Amino acid sequence: MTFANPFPTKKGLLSLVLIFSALWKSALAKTRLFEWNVTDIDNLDVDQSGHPRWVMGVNNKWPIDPLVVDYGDQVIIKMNNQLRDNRTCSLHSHGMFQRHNGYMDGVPQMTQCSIPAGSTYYYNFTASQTGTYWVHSHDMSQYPDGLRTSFVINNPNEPYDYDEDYIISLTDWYYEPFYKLVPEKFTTWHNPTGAEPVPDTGLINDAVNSTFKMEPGKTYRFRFVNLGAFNNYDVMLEDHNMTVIEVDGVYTKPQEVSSIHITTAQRYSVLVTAKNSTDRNYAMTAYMDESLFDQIPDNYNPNVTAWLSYNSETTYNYADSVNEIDSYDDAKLEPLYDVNWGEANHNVSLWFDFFTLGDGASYAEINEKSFKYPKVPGLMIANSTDYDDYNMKPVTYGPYTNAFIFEYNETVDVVIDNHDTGKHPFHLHGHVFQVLERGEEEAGEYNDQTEHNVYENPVRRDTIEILPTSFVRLRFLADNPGAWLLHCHIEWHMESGLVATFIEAPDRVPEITAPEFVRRQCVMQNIDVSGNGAGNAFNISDLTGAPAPPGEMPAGWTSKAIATVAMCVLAACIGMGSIVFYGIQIHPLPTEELDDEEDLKLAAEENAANLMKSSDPVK
Amino acid sequence: MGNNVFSVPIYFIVLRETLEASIIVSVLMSFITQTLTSNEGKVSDPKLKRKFMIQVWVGSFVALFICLAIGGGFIGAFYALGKDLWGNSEEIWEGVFSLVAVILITVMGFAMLRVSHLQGKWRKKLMRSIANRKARGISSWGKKYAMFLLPFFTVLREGLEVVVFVGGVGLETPATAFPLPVVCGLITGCLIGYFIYRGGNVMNLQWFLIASTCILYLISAGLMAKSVYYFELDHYSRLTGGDSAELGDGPGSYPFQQAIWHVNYGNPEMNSNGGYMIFNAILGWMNTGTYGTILSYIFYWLFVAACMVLMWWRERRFAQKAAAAGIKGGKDLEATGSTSSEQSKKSSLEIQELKTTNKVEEEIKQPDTIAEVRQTA
Repeated sequence: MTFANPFPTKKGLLSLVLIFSALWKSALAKTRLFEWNVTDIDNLDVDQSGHPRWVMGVNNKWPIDPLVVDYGDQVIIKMNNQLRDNRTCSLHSHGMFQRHNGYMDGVPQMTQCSIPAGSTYYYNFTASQTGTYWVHSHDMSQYPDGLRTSFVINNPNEPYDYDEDYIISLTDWYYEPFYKLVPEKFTTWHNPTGAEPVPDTGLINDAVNSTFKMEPGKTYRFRFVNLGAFNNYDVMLEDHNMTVIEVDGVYTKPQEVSSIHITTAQRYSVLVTAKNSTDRNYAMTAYMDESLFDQIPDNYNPNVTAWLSYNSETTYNYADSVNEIDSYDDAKLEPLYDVNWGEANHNVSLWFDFFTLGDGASYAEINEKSFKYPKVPGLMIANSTDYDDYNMKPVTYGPYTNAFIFEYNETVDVVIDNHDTGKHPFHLHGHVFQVLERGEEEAGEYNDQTEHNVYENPVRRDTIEILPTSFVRLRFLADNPGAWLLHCHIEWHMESGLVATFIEAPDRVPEITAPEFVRRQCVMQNIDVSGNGAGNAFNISDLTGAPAPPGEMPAGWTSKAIATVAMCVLAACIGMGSIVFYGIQIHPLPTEELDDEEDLKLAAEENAANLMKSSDPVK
Repeated sequence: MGNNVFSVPIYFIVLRETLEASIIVSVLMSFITQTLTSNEGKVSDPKLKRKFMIQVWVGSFVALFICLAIGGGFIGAFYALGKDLWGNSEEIWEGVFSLVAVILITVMGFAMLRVSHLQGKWRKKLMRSIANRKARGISSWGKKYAMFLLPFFTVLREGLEVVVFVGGVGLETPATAFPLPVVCGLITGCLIGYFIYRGGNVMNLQWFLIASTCILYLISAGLMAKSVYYFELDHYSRLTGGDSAELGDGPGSYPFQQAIWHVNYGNPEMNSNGGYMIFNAILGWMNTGTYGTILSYIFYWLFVAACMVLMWWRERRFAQKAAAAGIKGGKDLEATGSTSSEQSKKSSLEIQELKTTNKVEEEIKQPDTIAEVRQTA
């Protein structure tokens, strides 16, 4: 690069270079417009097993093509709702921070209203992160019915070397749509223990029998994305090792592993070196975690297999079954780059468990409250209650929104205690967090009095699995004004209310411009765009009428209880009194012989016979 | 629980069931002894008493043997197949057995309060049936072997309950924790039953009968409520996929739609609530009150009370009729009968005593010759 140098100083040269590269970059950065018409697709037999079903696709196509963009691109997903039956939808770009751009996070009743039939939402954000992500609907528990796909942002300055990359999605799959399963099989009094329906099958890249071409000598990057609703997978490659280089969009130091444990919503990038010969093919087996199932159906196949295809002429054989999978503890991974968030100046603690409530169904409660979306979307509450510090009070966002308020740029430590005996993958919108510590299974509650081993270089990611009856300690930087959900990503548990809301810097939310169509779509559905969690814009402290979960089942010695037991005691006394009465009032028999009607008659006849005898002249 | 030598839940299960069975059997044996013992304490009819006692023991042991056989078979199959064969219909079994027990106890209770009447009646009828070799159908056969049938069904029910419960608990219990509590429970239950039996001979006959009848009907009313509850619980269990037992005391473990009230503790079905299990055995306590159980309990007692009053009224009417029919001795006794109880009872008992001892001896010796004697007379 030679040209006439009008700036003779070194400093001047440097600034010129910077200006030039910025211009170069912005010239290269493109606007990527994705026209997404969300449509119904009927009778799709996804795994060729004879179970055709309805799915939600895009532009009449399913599976939905992955979105692939470059770092710096301006991404615009123009989502037009063409679903029938007045079905609404939304789109959450999982892992995208949407910094100062909260209305693009895609959560109905939190960052927007759901998109009504016929309307269009423009999800407009800059791809300012690199790595493997995914997008999915966050409305009506519908993403397991198909409205999801992978999302990759390429890095022009890749720190790792590889020849090609494959996007490999994993998912569990149900033959029945979620909108039927939830009320019929899950949230009903027929299911008081909250047993989650077992998926019918599993898919790799939304199909069965997928193959991935491998050429000898090449290094491949496999981008694993779990798009499922419920289960986690342990993935093993036959005779191949994997080197983890990225989790949830954050580069890690290279870590060689024999299998990866990927929960729903998590992503892993691994490097795999191809073998040098093409004599055979190798299986990629994804094992479902059966410990999450309440009851395993007979003849259930929890595994799904794809193949690393070296030679398309030879056979594709299944891998031998394994008894135990030695998976690497992903909390021990170390990020490649550091961040400097400092020590925590705000501590928050949550615990959760499952309870059977008054309608006989099972619900999850965080700090003894089951989650319900507020009447006004969370961002709009922050926007409109900026008065007398009401926007800094958690209850303004609804008594059942499990809201936590943070100030701008606080470093926050979050402890989550799992009182349940199941595994839960927790996800925080708008951020990645450091996993300072993850307790082992059955470690109990986090106890800040005892000594703790905090990971020295804690891994950063946006979805972390909390082990049964254990805890996890996270740290994040509250540099993103908005309303961000923290929730278990098992879709069943979202329905149960295992959700909390992190309201960050609500005083800065009015600085974020709300696109005009956001307000319009709310008004179309008669949803208030200002006010508190109960929709009250006049009296912000009045929360009557806020959405609430079912109350507890009545128990204890109510007046009805005491009254009925008293009646029973009274009846028993009457009964026993009658026993005493009858027992005492004993009428003795006239003579020993006459103790029933039969004998009375016989005696009468005998008497008559005797009388006749005595009057008989013969004798 | 968690004990390797003595499983407390098994002890309570065996104790409770043995207690119920031995109460009923001991009352039966007391009843037999009382019936066939004169006021001076002499056994009036040792052969008959022995016969009945044998029937009671045989009935109990046959039932025990059947239970052990069925229980052994079930538990063997249970461990072999690894499935709880009773599990799905456990509540229906319980409900049906409880209902049958209720009916038996209810009927028996009425009879117990008229032991003095029944002495002669029983003796005569039993003599007739022994004399008359032709049995006429179930009802007379039933009467003849009542002393076998009642303990048989009682011990059968209790024994099968023990089998089901212990089989269900057995999964979580190490094998070493089984024998000791079973033996202790059996001994304790039998001891308590024995003391009731012993105590019955010393007290005044009629008051003992009244007290034991009250206890029996308390148990029976409890069983009535329990039976209704078992059917309701079975219905709820089927609709919730059988998971409700996992939830212990709290919401989701009981048919809340039929419940009037519920307390989240004291569920006698849970093995950890030993005291409440005994409370349940004697009084039918359940930590849920449903419309079915409360109403059936109240109506059962009212039914019993109504029957008591009805029977009293019938007896009074019969006595009046007998007096009106002019049968010898009827008028005198009727006048005094309704007011004084002790005197007339004593005298009538004595009369019966004298007259029947002679007759019984004769009839026992020569049952077949009665017909001949009459013909030749």
